[in-house]
Amino acid sequence: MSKRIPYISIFLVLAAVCSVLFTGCSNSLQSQSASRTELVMNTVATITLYGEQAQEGVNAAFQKAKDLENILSSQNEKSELYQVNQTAYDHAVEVSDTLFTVTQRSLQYCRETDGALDCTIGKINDLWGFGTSNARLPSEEEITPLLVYKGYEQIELNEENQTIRFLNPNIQLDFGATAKGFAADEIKKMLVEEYGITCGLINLGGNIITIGSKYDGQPWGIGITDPNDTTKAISTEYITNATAVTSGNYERYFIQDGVRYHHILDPKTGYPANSGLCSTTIITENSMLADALSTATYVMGLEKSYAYIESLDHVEAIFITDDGTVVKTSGITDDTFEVVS
Amino acid sequence: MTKKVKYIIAGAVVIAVTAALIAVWILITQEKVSNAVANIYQNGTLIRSIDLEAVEESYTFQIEGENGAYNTVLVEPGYISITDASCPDKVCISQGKISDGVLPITCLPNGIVIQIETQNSTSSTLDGMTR
Repeated sequence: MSKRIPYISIFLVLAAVCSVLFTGCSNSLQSQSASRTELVMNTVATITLYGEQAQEGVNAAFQKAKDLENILSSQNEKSELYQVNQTAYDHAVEVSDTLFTVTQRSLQYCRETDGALDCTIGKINDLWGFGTSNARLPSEEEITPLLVYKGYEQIELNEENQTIRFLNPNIQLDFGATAKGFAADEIKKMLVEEYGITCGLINLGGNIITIGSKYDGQPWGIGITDPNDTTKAISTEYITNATAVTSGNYERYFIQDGVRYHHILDPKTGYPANSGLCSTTIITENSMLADALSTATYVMGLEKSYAYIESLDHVEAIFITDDGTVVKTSGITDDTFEVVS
Repeated sequence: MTKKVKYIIAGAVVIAVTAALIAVWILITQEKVSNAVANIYQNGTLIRSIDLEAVEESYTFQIEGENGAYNTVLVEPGYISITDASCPDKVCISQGKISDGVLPITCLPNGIVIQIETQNSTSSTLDGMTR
């Protein structure tokens, strides 16, 4: 008996010391954190990172976002995309790797969603001016001539020469539904590969992508905005190393003569989509895919979207209908989602 | 039980209790540093910081921008909001009051961001919100 007592003593000491060490560890990762909020890519971005290179990572992440904005913005007159939109009708324009990749993948999402997403309605988006000081209700006479059936099929890409050519004068590229997702993926890749970041959260205007789990090993708690009170969450999902992207009709809109006009346009009509949904959230691994699908499924409406998302692997969705009902796809069974790749 | 064993046990208990107290102290002090400071940015530049926990009486002030642009900010104990603005969409007003760092108030047309910085967060709070 007496010989066992020292072992018990050793166990007691080890247990107690470990408790201090573990508390100190999570504290230490938490203390090596950096966070910043800025307006970039025509939205508000918050990037929070943990680890030794957190501050350098945050700086590099915002620089990356600004670099991508200078390529992909459809509103900035100095951007590469803006220049392409002015010159690519009936003329093949050579573009950067980034612009070619984003165009190629965005057009692929347009085809896969059968035009529920159409990134060639740039001229119609410009008429509405959502999110700018020029937001207004355009007339039907302005919209109708710009409606191009499956405009995404009116773009010619030449992979060998890396050129883009528009086959119709009424189309312009607008990556409002894919650029932030692409940026989130690129920033995450850079932070993991070049800065060794294993713990962080990138929030580009509500497009969220997480790196690993939280500093305390728990999954990240991501709130889905309540469309009726945008300061509150209607549902919380817990994700690890995944992305969550929402398209909602409460984010960018204006009210004219008592009618609310939101920014998610139905490419077939040129007017705000009226599909019976207030918001759709996509949870998956790739943020560009999530970005594209959140817009496309909003336009499709609940029934069609539910079936479509269920047909995809490792993609889940949360739909909020106009009457406030929350509908989740079958992969979200216990409010927890983890990407299995 | 020999005297030596008794000393070992007594020593172990003292170390264990001390370590446990240190762990508890770390956790308690973590919670105590938590506060809420609202940082107001205009076109990316920090123009004002307000400790919302130190606010005793509500007040408003105006942020002036280019070409007559303005946003009226209401500061209340623990909360901050935009109550009036020159922007056409008024989304910043409809975002309502905020009291934590989960979601900033944004006025894109006027380039205004109000973000609450908290010194600490716990696993039970939201880490972000999609919208």
